[in-house]
Amino acid sequence: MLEIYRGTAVLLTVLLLPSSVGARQAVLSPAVREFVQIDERVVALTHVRLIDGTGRPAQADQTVIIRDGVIGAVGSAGSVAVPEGALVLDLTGKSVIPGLVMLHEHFFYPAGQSAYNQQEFSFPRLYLAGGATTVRTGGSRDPYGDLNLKRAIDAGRVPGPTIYVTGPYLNGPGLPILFVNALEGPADARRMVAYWSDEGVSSFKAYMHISREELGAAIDEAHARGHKVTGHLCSVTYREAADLGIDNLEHGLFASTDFVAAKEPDVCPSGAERGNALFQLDLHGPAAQDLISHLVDRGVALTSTLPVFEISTAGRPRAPDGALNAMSPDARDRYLRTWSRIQEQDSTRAVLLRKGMEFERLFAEAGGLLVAGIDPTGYGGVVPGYANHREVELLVEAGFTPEEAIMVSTYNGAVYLGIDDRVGTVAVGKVADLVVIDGDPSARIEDIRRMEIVFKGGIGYDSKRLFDSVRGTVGVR
Amino acid sequence: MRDQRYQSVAARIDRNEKVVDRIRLVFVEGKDSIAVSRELAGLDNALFELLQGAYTVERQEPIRSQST
Repeated sequence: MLEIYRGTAVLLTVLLLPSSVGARQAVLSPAVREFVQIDERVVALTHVRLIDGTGRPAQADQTVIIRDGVIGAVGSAGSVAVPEGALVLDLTGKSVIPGLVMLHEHFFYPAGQSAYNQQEFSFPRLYLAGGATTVRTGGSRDPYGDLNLKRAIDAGRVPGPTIYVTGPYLNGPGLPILFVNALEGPADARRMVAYWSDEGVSSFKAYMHISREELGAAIDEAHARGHKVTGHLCSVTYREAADLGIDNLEHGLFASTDFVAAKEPDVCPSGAERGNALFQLDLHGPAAQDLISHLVDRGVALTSTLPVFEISTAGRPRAPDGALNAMSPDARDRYLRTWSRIQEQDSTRAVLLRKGMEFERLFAEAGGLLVAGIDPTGYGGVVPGYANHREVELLVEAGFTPEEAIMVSTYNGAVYLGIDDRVGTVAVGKVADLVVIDGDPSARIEDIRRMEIVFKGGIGYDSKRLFDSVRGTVGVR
Repeated sequence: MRDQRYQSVAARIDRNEKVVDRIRLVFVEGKDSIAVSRELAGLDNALFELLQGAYTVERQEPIRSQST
């Protein structure tokens, strides 16, 4: 239960709040406003535990002042005064973290048989409900749909996070997914990047069957237009992609073909060959360590997407009840059937999951920029919002402290996007993208599931109301 | 949440008593639906029709989980 009242305290110190910088959305449609819990110009979050996104330990009994959508002051309870007339939230027993910045997101969901459904209704709400205030899509099924969804959210017509839209997949022939175009060479790659840049996307993603020549051309064209390129690779190794200038690699270690024996250039090895190579890999041996150093030296970021790999691993938890209830009956039955079959598999994937976690930790310890995402695909069950929480929990399981895991999922994403001067940490002058959590995720990371209010640009959205609004719809719309 | 249960109920055995086909039925509690492993395709039509008459039957596809 939140303690809310109006601040009447005498100012202890002179507050130097920045003037309004227009971070708050001026107009919200009724469709958005139904989820708004707090919409005051000045809000004081008091007596709260602060996990500020920098990775430093949680700070107890802090005050955060929000004014006109911007963080106006942050400090210990005795050092920050509550402005008169502010809406005061006594958050004793609760925590505040920055809004999540998640970088492998989609607005589509698997429908079986390599088909996917666009989720422009449920996913924006779910992402925001689960604390994601900024997302980058990791490849688009419906780029105009994603672009128009972004614009609708920015205009206050639809509830959801700020979206950085990635263009359609850059891939060669060989993939049985109908929405993925097959490139016909480097000139085609340049043409595709140029076209979708002009249409408004801000990043690109290479996929499993692209050639080195096509990837190089796409990177050149994207960089010339000020955009970054990421990749879920296979035909091109991580090392080759780094040498071509790629900015980001998706799925941690899992998409690497660097260690496949006798790999043919520009050919994606079979799943068995890829899995076996990673299974045999010694993460502390020279080959793995050299790859980590190579990626770090070239400034290539790595995206952790542990939830989409956990679902295919026997012995791991089923999706939480909230996620199951969010699914349509068809999507739920399909997910549960597959999940049950996976429980009968051997421990190979458990070894790979553990290895993937360790690789991500080693990469970060070596100075690499590790960022976080969920990838709501696979065979289903990775439901935005719920999976946001799971990704942070899995990073802790990988060996990060809770504060570090939150930093990976907030600040690091903002650094990659080049927006860390505005979001990603709780600091004076930054946009008030904040999440109020009932509990202490620095002591019990599973408390991160207990999100209550998600502030985006200083407007507080009711997390539960957003989650409840999409029951039975995931997989349909 | 309803639990799911598996039950193997039939197998086709060759002349050397080697199992060549196996049917796995997945019962979803509270629903008259079962999923039958894809090996069913090689079984007698009569048995398949029998199962279809008793339950909603679908042929299970190999597990495919494609991260995108």
